[in-house]
Amino acid sequence: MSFLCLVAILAIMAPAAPAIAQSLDVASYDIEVTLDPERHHLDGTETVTWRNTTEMAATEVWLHLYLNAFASSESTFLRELARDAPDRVRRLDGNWGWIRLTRLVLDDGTDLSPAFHFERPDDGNPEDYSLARVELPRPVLPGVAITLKIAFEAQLPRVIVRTGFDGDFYLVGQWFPKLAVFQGSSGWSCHQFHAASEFFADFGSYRVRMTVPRGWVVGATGEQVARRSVGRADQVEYRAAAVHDFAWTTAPADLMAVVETDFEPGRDVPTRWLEEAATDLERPAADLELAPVTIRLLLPHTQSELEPRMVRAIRLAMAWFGLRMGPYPYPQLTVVSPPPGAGAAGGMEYPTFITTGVRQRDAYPPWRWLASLEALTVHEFGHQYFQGLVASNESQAAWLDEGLTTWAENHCLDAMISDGLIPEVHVDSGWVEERLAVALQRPPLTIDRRSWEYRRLIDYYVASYAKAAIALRTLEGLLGEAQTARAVRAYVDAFRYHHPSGHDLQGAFEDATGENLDWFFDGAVRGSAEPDWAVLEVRHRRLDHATGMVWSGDGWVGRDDSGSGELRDERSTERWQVEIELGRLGDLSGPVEVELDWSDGRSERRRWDGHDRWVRWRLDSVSRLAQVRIDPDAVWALETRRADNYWRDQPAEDSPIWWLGQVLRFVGELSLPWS
Amino acid sequence: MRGRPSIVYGFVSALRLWRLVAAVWLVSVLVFVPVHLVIWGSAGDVLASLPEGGLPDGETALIVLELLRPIWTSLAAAMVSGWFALWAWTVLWHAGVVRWLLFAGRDEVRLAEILGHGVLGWWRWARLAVTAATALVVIDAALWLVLGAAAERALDGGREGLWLALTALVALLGVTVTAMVWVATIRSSWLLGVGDRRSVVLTWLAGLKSSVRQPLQSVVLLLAWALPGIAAMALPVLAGWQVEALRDGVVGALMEVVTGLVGAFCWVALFLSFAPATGLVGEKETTRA
Repeated sequence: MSFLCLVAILAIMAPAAPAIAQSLDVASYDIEVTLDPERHHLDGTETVTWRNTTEMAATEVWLHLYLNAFASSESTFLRELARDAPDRVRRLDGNWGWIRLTRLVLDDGTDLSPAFHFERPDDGNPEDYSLARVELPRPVLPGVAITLKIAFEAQLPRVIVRTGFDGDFYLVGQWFPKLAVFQGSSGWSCHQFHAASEFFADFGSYRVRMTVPRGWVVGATGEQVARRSVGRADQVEYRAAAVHDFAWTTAPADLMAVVETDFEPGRDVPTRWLEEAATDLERPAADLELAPVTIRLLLPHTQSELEPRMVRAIRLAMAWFGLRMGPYPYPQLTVVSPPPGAGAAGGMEYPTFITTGVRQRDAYPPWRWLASLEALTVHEFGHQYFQGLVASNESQAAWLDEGLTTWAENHCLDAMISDGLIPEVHVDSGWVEERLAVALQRPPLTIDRRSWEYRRLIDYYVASYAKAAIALRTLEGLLGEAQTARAVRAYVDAFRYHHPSGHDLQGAFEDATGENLDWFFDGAVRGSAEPDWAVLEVRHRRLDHATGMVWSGDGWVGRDDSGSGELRDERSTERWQVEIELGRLGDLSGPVEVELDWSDGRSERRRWDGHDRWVRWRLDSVSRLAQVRIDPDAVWALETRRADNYWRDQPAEDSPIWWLGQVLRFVGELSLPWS
Repeated sequence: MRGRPSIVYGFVSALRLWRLVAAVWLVSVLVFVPVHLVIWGSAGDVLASLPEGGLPDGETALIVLELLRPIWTSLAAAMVSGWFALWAWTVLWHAGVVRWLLFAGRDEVRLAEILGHGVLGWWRWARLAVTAATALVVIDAALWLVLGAAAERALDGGREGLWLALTALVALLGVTVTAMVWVATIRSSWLLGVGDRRSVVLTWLAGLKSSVRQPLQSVVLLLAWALPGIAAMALPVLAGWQVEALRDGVVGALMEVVTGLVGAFCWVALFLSFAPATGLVGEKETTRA
């Protein structure tokens, strides 16, 4: 990113410019690296300038050496991965990855090698070398910067979990010695590299010169500013500002094609989306203006047929997120679709650089009818906001980026499909899949917890992606779509280029609604409480068939002998007393709508505050109650036990039971002739 | 064995064995009664309570999951035992029909006698059925592993034409293999009776050989009975899907019985159509293949 772009970013964020300017320049890197494709080896030098922006002095720095997670089967990462996905570890096939520092000095030449120690704060695993601590000869005072000069060599693994090589294709991520985040009195926020965790780093500027074989295509974070021949190789220089990571890819030109295109708001933003966003956010359309962005798509030549669909998905994602979350602030986005065999490189996000994952068959029915290509592209682009710009801690609170991104992805896809913008897609089941995934997990998962502390990898994925998304969907149902849109936008605006926590997101919702939402966040996000409503019982009592005595005003008389024509007249009209008992079986309480449909065609909605464990409503009516539906609009998306939310007076004729019976009969009879 | 398979013979014989047709249908219903009981017992009330006017998007899947999850082991056990019972029963009546026609085909049709023959021959015909199933799985798996994988590679390599050709070939071969194994099994069922054969594998291969020698006739016969059989089974679903009134009540039940009987007739007739025209008791000429 050029200096002008940085100025543009600061101009956009003018009201909070001083704080942002400081957060944009915390850890900056100047790296020179050479790829040896014969050995899949990197040789590099790195100059890191770190500024202490806290109120506390720092006596040490911590470095992530992520590639060492792939050094042996005994690393913390591979141990955790092997527990749940051993096949992914086997794919390494002896092609281990590692990184080693060959020089570590301060800019005044002080050798820091003796002060370098590997640390294992999370699990004490002596065979994990993914995190290191370097004691400094003198403290770095608040506001002061230090510069480290590092030389390193790294061996890339066979592509695994977002980094490595497959044949001549390289996706180079988590590849350089990278500083952790200093948080003042809390110390350094840093963790070993875990199978279920991603990243957390400070913003800064990057200048990276990559030397690759002559003619190979290169894509990377930021923008290319130079390409020159160096002997039999090419040196490609990229620069990026206001980012917190740097990844790159390279491959021979006969393997990967480069498509240069753009996002042009005048052409690519659907008018309807602009109007809806303006209404929901209560902002004039002029405030939602977006800037053009260069799109650089790197894809295998064999996927050329899918190129228009990829480009369309990227443009629509840019439009939707831009309108709802604010403009994408960088001038370029690089999108990489890995070739077959390098699928493990797909589905990942880095600042201004994302990888998708498609198969050639996505061009043909029935795969063509699915939204998988769009879903992945939209999801990875969504990460440009959640955690690219709003840089929450992915290790400690993965739900903040994965949950928000999944929630936004589903909304974006809903809009694309309902507005006919991806007409070939006929199946979109995002919300249903998230709810089914949550329903399958028992015991209930806690959304807000450190990512490697889940019992299984699948629990991490379900809690951080699916459950967090439907928790937000639930909140949205309770607060309203527009309120939620404004809350999320306020969160993004407030924490662009910062490191927010879950409490900050809650605060944004509370500010937007004026309500205290502890009950929801404590229960559903920081706890594992789930909602579960039930119709416990419905009783009918016929009032016009009452027997016994009746008080006539001055004494008891038999009902038939009261002499009151009025009572006799009433007996000719059907009158019912209906008792409806509703229960809250789950631990999460909150208001819920209940729909009562009467047999004479009337329908009414009532609200239960849900505080008590059960409630009884006693209603008089001239007709029987036909059916009860708790939460008829499925506002409580977090509720996955829904069967007992319903009651009806007469058994359903059109119920799934008929279909079940038919399917079983058909399957049974079909097997008849086979012996 | 001499003689050609005959649709007419299958039709006439199935009519003659109408009691067997009724039994085939009845057993196919009874073996899945436990499945229905498991579902109805645990989820029937809840499913009948679902509201009129449909559920919110995606909620049907959620509710089905919620209801089936606690019973999936018993449901799976009921399904597997149902399929096993149906398989065992089909082996039994196949064996019974072959042995009865060979040994007592001229006599008055007595269902108990047919089933008695089936019980006596069950083990041999069961081994034949297992052989056929093994052959089907092995051949189909080999098809998918070799050609299916080649198709995937072609697709990943961007050779869409080759991918399309291979996919079409795999699909075509898959259907053909399934049909041929089906016909071979029926033919070998008869061979197992008319010949004094000990090896079920060799008998099945002989059945396959005769099917390959008469491929057109085999396929035509198969389609002639299998298509109406499948159509009869699918009719109640399609009719109920289109006309709600046909889902329940007397009309719906009657339709299920009639279509079930038609389906069973087709399967019995299909099997009998491959009976050797000669070699049976009561035919003009008796020969051994």
